[in-house]
Amino acid sequence: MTMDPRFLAFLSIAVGLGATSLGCGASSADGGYGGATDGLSDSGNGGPGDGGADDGNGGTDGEPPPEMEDEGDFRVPRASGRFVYSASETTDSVAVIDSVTLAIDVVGVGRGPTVVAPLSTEGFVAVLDQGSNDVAMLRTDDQGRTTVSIIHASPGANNLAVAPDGALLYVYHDVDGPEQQGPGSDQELTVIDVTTSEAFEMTVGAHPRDVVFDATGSVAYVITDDGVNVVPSADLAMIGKPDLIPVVDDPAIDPSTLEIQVAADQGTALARVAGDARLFATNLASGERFAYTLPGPSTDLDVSEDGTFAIVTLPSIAGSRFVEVTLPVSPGQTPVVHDVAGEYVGLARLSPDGETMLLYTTVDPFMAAPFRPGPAYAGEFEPFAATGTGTGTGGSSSGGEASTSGTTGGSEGGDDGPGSVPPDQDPRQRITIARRGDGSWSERITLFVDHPIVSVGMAPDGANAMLLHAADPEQSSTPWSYTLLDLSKQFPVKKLQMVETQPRSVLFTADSDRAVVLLRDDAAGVRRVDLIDLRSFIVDGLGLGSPPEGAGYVEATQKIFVSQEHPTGRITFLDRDGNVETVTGYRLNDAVKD
Amino acid sequence: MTYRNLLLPSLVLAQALTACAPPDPYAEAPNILPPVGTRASLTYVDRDEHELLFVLPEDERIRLVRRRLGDDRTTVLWTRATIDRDRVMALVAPASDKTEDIDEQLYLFPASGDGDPRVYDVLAPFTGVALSPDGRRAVLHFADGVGTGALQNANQVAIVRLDSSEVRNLTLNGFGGRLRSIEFPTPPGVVGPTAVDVGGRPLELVAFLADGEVVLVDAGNEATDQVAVRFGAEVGFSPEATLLRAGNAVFGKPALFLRPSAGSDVAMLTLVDKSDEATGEAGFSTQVSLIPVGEHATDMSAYDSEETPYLVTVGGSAFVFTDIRTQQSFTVGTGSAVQKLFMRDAETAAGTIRQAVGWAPGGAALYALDLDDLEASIGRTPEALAIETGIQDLVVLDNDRVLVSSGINLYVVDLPRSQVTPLSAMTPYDARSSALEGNQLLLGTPGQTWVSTVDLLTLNPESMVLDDPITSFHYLPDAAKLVLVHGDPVGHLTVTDAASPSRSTSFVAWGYLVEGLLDP
Repeated sequence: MTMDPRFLAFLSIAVGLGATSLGCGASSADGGYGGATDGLSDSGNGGPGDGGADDGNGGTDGEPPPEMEDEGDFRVPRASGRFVYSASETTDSVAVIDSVTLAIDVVGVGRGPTVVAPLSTEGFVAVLDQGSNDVAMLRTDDQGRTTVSIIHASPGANNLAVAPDGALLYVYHDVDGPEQQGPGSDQELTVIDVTTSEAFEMTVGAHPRDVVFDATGSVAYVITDDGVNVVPSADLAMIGKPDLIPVVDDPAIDPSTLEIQVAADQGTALARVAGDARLFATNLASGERFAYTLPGPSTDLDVSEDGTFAIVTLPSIAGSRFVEVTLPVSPGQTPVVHDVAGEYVGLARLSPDGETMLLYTTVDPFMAAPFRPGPAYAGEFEPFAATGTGTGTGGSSSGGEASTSGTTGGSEGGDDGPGSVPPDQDPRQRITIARRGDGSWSERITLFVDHPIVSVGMAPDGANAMLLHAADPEQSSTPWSYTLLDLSKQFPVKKLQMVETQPRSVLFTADSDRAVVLLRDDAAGVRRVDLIDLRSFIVDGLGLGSPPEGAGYVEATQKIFVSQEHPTGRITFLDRDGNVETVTGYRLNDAVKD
Repeated sequence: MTYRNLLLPSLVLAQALTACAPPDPYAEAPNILPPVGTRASLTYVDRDEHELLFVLPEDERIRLVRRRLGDDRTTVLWTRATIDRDRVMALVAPASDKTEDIDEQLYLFPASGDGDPRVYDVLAPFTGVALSPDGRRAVLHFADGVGTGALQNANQVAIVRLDSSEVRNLTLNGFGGRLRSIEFPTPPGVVGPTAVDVGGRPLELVAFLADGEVVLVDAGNEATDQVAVRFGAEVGFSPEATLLRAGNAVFGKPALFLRPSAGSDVAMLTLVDKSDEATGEAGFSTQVSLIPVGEHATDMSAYDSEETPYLVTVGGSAFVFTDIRTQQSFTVGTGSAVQKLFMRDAETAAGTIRQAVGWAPGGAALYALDLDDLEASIGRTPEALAIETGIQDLVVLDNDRVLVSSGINLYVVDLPRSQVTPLSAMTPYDARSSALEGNQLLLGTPGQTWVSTVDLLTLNPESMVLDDPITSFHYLPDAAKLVLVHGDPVGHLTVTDAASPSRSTSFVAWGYLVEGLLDP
């Protein structure tokens, strides 16, 4: 699934919190089964490889509004055990907030702490000190006392990745992170053995984007522009330059046009090229690579959470398709093509159990033409056909099948789809729910929604989804909206919720009972969190004292927390019973002399 | 004889008379500090004679007691009555910076002038003193002024225990902000002792408020480290007033609230035990949070409903109730400004309840809000008690009554009866220059030539005309006397019965400041 840059903030919430958020697929954050990276997400300025919204369709309209970057110097706090850890880059400290008692302890760390990564569920986190190039390991005991140890790390690192068992911590420079690489190289990476505090430094491929782990944490995969580095945990002491496995057949391909997903437990990397009909699957253990020619250019690649299959989305105004690739791939294997006649779908969102999929688009392909064409011209104006970027070579580099066959009709090649999309409908206002069933994905229903979709998220249990919509200029007071969708029903119940500003961030709790939507418009004075009961779809708005920055979940106490922009720090906790508690000024505790 | 011939002998005679005559007491005013009123006496400092003069009014005369205070090499910087007005303090310092062998000392005399004074070495010529509400401590400090020395430590203080000889000289261990004021935080309605339980230990808190910071000192335990909190420039928070809330069943953690001079937050400093488990050494610390209270709070108090601990603030045109646990708040509007706040007990059919009363200087009403069943008070409006000519100042006389001054009008407000009684005068009364003797309100405003009483039961006012204008008004409850001091450098006062001031029970004393001056 292509990552929408607007949801970087969502990702930051979801990582390590035991909660899921909109806009991300089976990322490492969701449990380490599938690794996701997306070369499409960083260009962000239109054209091929543009970040997500048009998915390489060359659309010139329907672009979602740009990401509203978090301007605070606090990144979103994270929880471990019953404690919330909030780093203050300006005061070189971390506030440790007990979500039960709201007691606060502020501990000094290195310079410029930014990223917090939970290492366990018992009050143990790592904090990246970007200003001093080290990592502070914070351990909080049951009495709320926190001890700190500092471990040196690679210079320029701006992100942390934690193995599923919490035993290893990867400190690296994420090319998609907010900071640009300074003098030096972004290819140096440090792995910290959390138990022994031993640090291992190594060099990986250019511009790392993500680090994913298999379920046991025995192997880590570092996804870079050059390919995927394979780092066996057992060999850390001996690896200075871990093996780099290319994931496409042509190293000259512009990496910004690549979307790479790693099914870590299968040891397989999947790569698609924007505007291209090829799909590559690489066995990261052997290096064996399979190339498939798809019926058309793809716009999205998703790996199921259990890593047993992948979905590639092929939109077309002549009718869309999606392709299921069983993992791990093997010689002679044929990906299965499924038609989605009459619909334009460029993005897929798989439920955590892989049994339900939402197909949708965030672009209106017809807006690429100077005028909306008549039905007779549908094929002619199919954006990929027009661009001619598909290679159509069908070649394979290591013996994989060059083309695939469909099971529900359709044809090969690409520009004659399964059924044209009516040009008088905006495909962004349609969402198709597909259920896998016996593997045929034949149980489908397409729903109309009132406003164009810009993103989709799903609760961890897959029972409910949330659709975020583009602004409707005709609704002057409440132009924005989101739709709650009950996927557990045969005929999904949906509820449209109008809001006065663009939803900034969304969080689903790990138990899938609740979600929150953060709403912020400084000019209009909107500073609110919508608390959603996913069992009833009742939404309670809670006014906040300060603009919300991010949300998280403390699984130990079942409390949602909302961090807010405040010069001294403000965080609000929402418990299951609807009780609200706020702590303001916790950063001031750094200025207590006792 | 010509005029020239007469002049020379006259000058010679004048010179001879001058050389032989005793000092003329009227040649220049005695160097005497203004009187301090205690429960039993007026106390003057005679800087020329290095004496403390106690003026003790009796039925028809005054009795004078003189006590030696320093010598020619010292001077008295200031005097002050203790908070219970049972004793009087005087700070003695070297008269000259050239004097190096004399330390500054604080003298504590009984109000009667009898008995030996208690003397404390305080190390510096402090210019101010703050007194704890429980009367047990005084903190000497430099306030905003400078002392007599060439160089002072602005954050040097002396904590004096008034019921023993204990004195603790220390420098505040803050962040460099200059000390602005000193508070002895107490829970609302509590006078003393100023101690709150933190981790099972009594903490006698003294809060030193400085620019952008506060320093907390445990006055009861010298071994306890000071705790300082800096609020930082980005917050723009400078503490102005304190409020202490002891832990209880509703909210178990003791907390100190700091109201800033500007801004819409109140700081909540949760007090936590930080005793050393190994050594048993006592210690405390604080967890800081800010509570948004809407508009800038100009006054605050605390109130506990059955389940919720509230911080009550005023500042705009509403009472603001903020749950200190959740920081959620709601307001009860008054319709016009309220800047000051006090709490009282109100009797209702259901029993005794708490009531918040708000007012504002310049405002036209008092607003009384019943706090029972507060959470169900949506739509509740405070009762407005109109002050027709506007509020200039307000003095809380007791739980049920307040006195409002308003130009040439005075208002006695009976809160249980919701009764506002205007009293008109020829010149303005100062509500602060008043006292309560039982149900008798005593008024003596400087500049006026009468002293007035108001029977608060009948609200009948009466006035007693004086022969001279009042310079200062003193109520001496132990002597059951009112003393009205008049302006005269040799001492001039009128003494009358506090219970029923009248000319028939009054007498005048004059010249007592120079009495005995010519004695050998």
